[in-house]
Amino acid sequence: MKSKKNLIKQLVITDLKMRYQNSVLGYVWTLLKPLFMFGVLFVVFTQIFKVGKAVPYFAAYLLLGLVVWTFFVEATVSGMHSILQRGDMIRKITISKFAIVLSANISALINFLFNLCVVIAAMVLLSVPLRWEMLFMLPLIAFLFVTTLGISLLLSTLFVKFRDMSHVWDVVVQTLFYATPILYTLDIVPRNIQLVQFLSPVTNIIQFMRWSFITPEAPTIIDVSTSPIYYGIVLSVFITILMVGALYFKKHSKFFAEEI
Amino acid sequence: MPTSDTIISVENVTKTFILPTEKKGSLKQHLISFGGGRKTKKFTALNNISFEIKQGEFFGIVGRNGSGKSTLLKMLAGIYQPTKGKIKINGKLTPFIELGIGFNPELTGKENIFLNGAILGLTEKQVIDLYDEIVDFAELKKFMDLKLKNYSSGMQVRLAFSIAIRAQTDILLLDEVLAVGDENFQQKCFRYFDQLKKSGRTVILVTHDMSTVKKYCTRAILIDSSKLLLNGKPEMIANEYSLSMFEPSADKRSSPESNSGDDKLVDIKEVSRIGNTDKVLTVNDVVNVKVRYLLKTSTKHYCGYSLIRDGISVAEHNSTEQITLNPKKGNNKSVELIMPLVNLQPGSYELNIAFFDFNKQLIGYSSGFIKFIIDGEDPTRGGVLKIDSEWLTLEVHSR
Repeated sequence: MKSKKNLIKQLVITDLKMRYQNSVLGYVWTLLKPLFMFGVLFVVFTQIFKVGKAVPYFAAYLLLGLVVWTFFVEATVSGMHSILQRGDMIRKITISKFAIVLSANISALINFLFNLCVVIAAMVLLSVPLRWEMLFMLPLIAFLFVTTLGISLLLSTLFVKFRDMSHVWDVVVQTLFYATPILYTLDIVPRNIQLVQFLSPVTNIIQFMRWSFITPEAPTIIDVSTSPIYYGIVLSVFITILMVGALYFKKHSKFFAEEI
Repeated sequence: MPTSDTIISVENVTKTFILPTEKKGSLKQHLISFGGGRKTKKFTALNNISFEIKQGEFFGIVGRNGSGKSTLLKMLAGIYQPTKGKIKINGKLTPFIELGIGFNPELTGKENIFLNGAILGLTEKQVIDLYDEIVDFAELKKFMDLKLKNYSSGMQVRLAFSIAIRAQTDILLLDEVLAVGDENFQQKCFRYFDQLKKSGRTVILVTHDMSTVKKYCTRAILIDSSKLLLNGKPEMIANEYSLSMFEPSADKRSSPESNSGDDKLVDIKEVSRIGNTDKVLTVNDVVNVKVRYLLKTSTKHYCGYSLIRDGISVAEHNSTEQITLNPKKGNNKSVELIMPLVNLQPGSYELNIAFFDFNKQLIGYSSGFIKFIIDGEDPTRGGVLKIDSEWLTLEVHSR
């Protein structure tokens, strides 16, 4: 158990070291990238398009959504590639395959936490009041992480069998990007479409994050429906993702060494 | 029967790989061939293998390339799953199929020690405790903050080996790790083997080097063409392996033949070694062969052998001059050959037996049943024959 923890730790450290190796600014890039992104968004959406007037602190609102989305994409894509990337290891030593996928997700999580610091800094800059509800981010991040891990487990297994899974996922991610309220606010979407959007765990987490960080006015699932049946359906989508990912991975990971 | 000190038991293990004739790596290829029946080939890498390894054994696995021993190794390591059968392992096993797994050229020597240690299953505290020892053994103290890509390949191997031998597990699985490194380093490896053997750790060694097998192993198995051929003393395994190296692999090997001549006058029932039946012999040994045969008609006949080396008959000898064979027809006739090897050089030999009638017509032959190796290379001699020749130095008188 301890040795597994050490394995995950070393894999994450190596991952993070490799990310910015040979770059002059190194880890500073982890902070610079979301800062630049924020700068661009701020100019484009508050000065040029002037959307989101209805929402207070729209720039921060936007940034938070994008940061969560970036984590979702980064974690699932690196999780999907992780097994194949470490194929050489898997073929030559008994190593926990779960630890490999998990460590890829943890690396992405660490970047995400850096980015959240930038979000908080931007909030201070935009004089968004910091509220105690922000503490909800802890369970929300946990939910988000478990979701990406479940998807990563499924994708990494599929990717061993079908190499064009990466292209399939590219398309899915692009579609989801527009299906998720990231660049736009939910008030422009008809309610029955909102019902579909809130089936996605990512939409739920992004909206709850906005609710806890930026403004209590951010619509969450509670504003869309009060039906316990609907809540049950949303919960079962979440659980299905986890179960399918975990079981499919568990069943096939034994044979990774032969299939890679 | 598994007993309490059995640390590994392999029961009727079969491993089949399904090889696509064209590799289907993409979804499209899968969709296209869906329903059309997949073109696959089954390949049996290991066929119904069973053996046991006991606590403290230094166990050798021997076999030529492609015999299935690497597959077996990977199954023992838990990397591959058996298609059929069971592998039970009591204890923690560390495989060394390759040294320095996960080594990253962009990391420093120190960082690589921590990474590789973790991959080998060490905890962080264990790596910290062992760090100085690892660096000292590898003789790389000065280079620890240098990136691995700036190491020579020799330095990398030294570092990898130093980490590997400190993985304190119950069972060690070593795959030809000795094939790398210079002589000096190999000496170090051998000293490590000595230590391992003394300390009573269970070690499984896969190797081509028969002197290593004889020196360190307490028991060994020989695998050939997916099957377990022999399980026993390392000397016997090593000899059998050396012998098999002289033959084509089993699937190509022509089976021994025993046939009658065209007129089927002699039916050879059995050709076998008697007395000393070792396959590996020295020039001081004598080969005794018994031939049992059936004579179908009463014919005057004689027997002969031809000794083959490298496809060439190097000695032939017929019985006419020595003994007269009973010409009456009948069963259970037998003749014995006594052949001292004193005049031969080390090498691999094959003995063919033939029967002739007095018109010198072939009436029955047998080939491929008797094979042996003469061991004991003498660096001053070569060829086929050993002649009692002598070299003398001549006094040179300066005039």
